[in-house]
Amino acid sequence: MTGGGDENRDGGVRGEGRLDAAAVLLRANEATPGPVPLPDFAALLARRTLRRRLWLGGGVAAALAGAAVVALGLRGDPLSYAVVGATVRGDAGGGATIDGPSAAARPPAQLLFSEGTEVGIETGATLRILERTARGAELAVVRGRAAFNVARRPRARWSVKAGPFTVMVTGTRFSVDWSPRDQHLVLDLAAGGVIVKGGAAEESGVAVRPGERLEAFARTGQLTIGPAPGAGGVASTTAATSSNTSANANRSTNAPTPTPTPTATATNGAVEVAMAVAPKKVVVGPARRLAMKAPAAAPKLDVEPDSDGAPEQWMLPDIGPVPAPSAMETKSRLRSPSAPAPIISAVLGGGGAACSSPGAGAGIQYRFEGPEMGISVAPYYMLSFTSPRPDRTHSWCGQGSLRVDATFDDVGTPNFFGRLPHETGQVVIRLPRSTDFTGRTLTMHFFVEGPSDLRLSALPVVIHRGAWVPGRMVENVVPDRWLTLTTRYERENVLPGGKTSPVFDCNRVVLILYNNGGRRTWSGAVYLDDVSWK
Amino acid sequence: MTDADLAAALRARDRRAYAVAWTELGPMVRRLVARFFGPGADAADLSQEVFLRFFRRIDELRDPSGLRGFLVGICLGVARNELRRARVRRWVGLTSAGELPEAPVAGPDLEAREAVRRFYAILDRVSAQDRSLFVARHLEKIEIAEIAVMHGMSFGTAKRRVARAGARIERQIARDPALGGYLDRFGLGAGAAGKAAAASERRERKS
Repeated sequence: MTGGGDENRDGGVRGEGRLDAAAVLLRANEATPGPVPLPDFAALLARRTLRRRLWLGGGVAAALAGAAVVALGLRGDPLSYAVVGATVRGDAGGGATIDGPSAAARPPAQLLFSEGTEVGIETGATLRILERTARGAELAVVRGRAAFNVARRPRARWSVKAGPFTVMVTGTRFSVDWSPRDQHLVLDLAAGGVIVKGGAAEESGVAVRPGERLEAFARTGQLTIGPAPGAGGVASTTAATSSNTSANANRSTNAPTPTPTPTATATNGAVEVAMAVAPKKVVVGPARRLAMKAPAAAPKLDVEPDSDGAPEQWMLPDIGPVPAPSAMETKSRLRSPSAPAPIISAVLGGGGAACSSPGAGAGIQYRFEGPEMGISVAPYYMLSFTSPRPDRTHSWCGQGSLRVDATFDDVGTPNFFGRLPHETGQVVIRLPRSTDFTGRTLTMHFFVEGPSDLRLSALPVVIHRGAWVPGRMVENVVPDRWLTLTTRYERENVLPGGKTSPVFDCNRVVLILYNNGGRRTWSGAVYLDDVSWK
Repeated sequence: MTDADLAAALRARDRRAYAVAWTELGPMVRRLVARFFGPGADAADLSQEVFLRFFRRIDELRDPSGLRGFLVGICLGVARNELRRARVRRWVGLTSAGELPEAPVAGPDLEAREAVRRFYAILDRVSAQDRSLFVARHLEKIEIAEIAVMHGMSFGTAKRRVARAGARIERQIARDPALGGYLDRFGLGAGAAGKAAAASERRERKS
């Protein structure tokens, strides 16, 4: 008994110790939460209060909500709604039409859905409710401008039709202005993301970021994206493509041959606009070419590739010890000054259709779908990256990527390169065997998670017998989107100082990120995926 | 700005106070949410929900100096509700796989990552309240009296339930010899560091 008592007592002590050990373990291995933008709490509180009133107070809202209950089905109760400042024509259960105020001086009519989504219908505009479900609704802007603030919910599914265009939404703020006479769509995005899909490639598209405006003409197929009036920033300098493609797309496409099948795919937290017209001419980079091969019925694309498959607008390196590009690279840039933008789209599966096409995964040396050997971050001098580890929240293709924590600041003393310890980060891949990069194109995809105003420069490097041979530098890297780095190595490649080096005996591949934008101090993460050389 | 000043500003519905609260207290809430749910938690969304409730219920705060404890209590409540909802969603098959997706775990140590994963799997098997009590007591090192207030219990009840929750988790650990062995070894190694960290945390909380 005594022994048993001791055992129990020991067990109790051991158990308590295990709990404490577990607590220390969890604290030691927790990820550092990154910076989070300030939500608009005043608006959120106001909306929540309004929702409570709608549900509790009744009135018009309760009456319409009661009417909405009629449409009960297996998929759950459809959302109810209330209209403020306008009358509803037609059946509230479906096909209802709401006209905005006729006088410009009056405030916009409000369409308020029970889950928090708000639609402002402006003067002269007409909006139609085509269908409501438990997850959202299908609306149509018949004419005029309507502003949407779609509540962000899991599995939300909203769509807004405007002529031949369809905007699929799951939680964002934007406005749609549709002119049926001119067949002209203007979409301003305030928050979230937009992806414009073309008939040439149903799986591809061009992403629009907050602060940008998309304009599309259904008759000509012309589609442009630029900064929204009053919006600043660099958003207009980079184009992004669908979550289902890997692409570098020009901002302007033309389409003379309309195709009658608008398509759209919902992406959580994003908007996709499906075009019913096919672009005639799309200027694309290498990743786009992959994506465009998929649709068999797509019109032939007039592709204007650059000499080595890399986006052309990427600038010369202009920092510290970074070498100048080769003469070939400079010439290539001069020959093609207009820039296809490099960027991609969604967080998970950013490569999109390029990843699902036959043989897409072939020839990729590092896919980060499982454990990979030889991954490290720089332990000296360049300390911005720490804790490399597998990640399943971000990926270019497949389900995983490599994540490193990123911390940049101007604290500390410069090293002998003249750099501060947390000004630069390096991810190093030690290759299992000597590799010849001569005549090969090194490709890597990375995603920076951090404040929206940070700007980085990215540089791929291979190490040949100890010599760091740089590839093509990319400047003005922006966060929260996948970016593709490609660089082609020749027999002799220019090193800093003007010397050259071959690359036939390389044992490491490195991704270097320099924090040389205006935002000096930030922390977040960098994800690396699908590193290949062909 | 002291907690009392912040509480007064929030009670006055000063919009600037929202930003101050989010900036000053947001990291604490996000950390607590992350600790509660483990790796892969959508800490940002849940933190926003926590703060929305915090702002709406600020008038219920009796002692302005207890602002942080009040917020932690709301945070644990939101986390418990979210956990219950997530479980219900899994029961009714609203997720495709019927289970939460595999989530990334911080740290370069593969063994530690596996241990963290297994431990959160154990926390997934205990009730939301047990999990909340464990997080509050062992991870956040909150005193029993405060835990009692946060969970709406008497001191004695809180003390009993913390002990009971710990015992349940211990039993689950004992059923996983690999994890138990790892924690035993980890506890020996981390003992000194853990004590130092605990002392540091206590000092931080007092200050």
